[in-house]
Amino acid sequence: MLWVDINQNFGEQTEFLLPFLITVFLVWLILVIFSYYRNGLKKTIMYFLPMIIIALFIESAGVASGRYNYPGYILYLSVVGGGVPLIIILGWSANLFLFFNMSKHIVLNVYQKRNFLQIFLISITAGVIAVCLDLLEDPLAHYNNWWIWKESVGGVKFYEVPLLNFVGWFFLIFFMSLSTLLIERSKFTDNRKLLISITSISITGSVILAVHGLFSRILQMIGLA
Amino acid sequence: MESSVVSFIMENIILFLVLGTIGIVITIYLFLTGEKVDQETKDNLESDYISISKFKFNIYVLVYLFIFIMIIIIGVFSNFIKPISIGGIIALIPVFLLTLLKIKVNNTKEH
Repeated sequence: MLWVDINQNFGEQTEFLLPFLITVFLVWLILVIFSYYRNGLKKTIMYFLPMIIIALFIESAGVASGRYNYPGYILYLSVVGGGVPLIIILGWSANLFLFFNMSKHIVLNVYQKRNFLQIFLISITAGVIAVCLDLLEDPLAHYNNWWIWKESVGGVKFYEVPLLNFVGWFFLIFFMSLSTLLIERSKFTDNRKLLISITSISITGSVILAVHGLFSRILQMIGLA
Repeated sequence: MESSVVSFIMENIILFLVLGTIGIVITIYLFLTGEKVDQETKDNLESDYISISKFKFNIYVLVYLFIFIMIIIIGVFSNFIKPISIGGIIALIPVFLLTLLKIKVNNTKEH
């Protein structure tokens, strides 16, 4: 089921892949180290590992379905048929940690009450921040072939990047932030939180796929995807 | 992640059903049997600031700006100016918002 592949032709078909990889790896490393010193080992695993697993499944399914692919990377992992670069999966975990923490700083300045509404607002804001950054990153990634969207993918596009990609970014970060914050603020012990964060991936992943699938249908019906 | 992915999942439905069911059952078990402990009821956001010379910076904003600058630099060298200009303006909105809110809150505290 899980396979690992090492590509001998690093950078093939791509432009400026190395600086992109260094950037993603540095960001991931800085955030993991910072989280380790700020939150400890268990919470750091709780913040990063679930997103790594869920990104592996979603990205692998995305590649296997033939909508996009990742040429020229070094180390690929696959769980359901599509090879995904390890660095992309690590990048997703850094994205989640970065966006929901930035979002906390925004929301807590305007709404201090510690309740579900606050968690919901933090998650929505995290999703919006993700889309804001992706509007910068994704067109450049497609242009430099860091990942390639197939031309057969139709609908509204922003510099060759389909609208559904941004919808996917929003839902993935929104639901993962929601799940992470709900577990983080529960009254369980840290060990239990860590276990729940891993086992609940199946629930969060199913919700993400169902909501995104439904939203895609709606966008297709009105001709936007 | 649209219909083709949904079709792909439908083709591997047994795998996803098994993984999903195991995950749900274990999560429910962990929820029902978990010991509850007292938790802190306030977010400590001050520890997200690092001091560089006299100034305090939000680590997340710094990391976000690092990504932003690297993407802009790569975009410029790729000669992809117009899209990164549009994307760059949009990507700066969260930083502006966070900075404005921080200034507003600091001003309110001083008064």
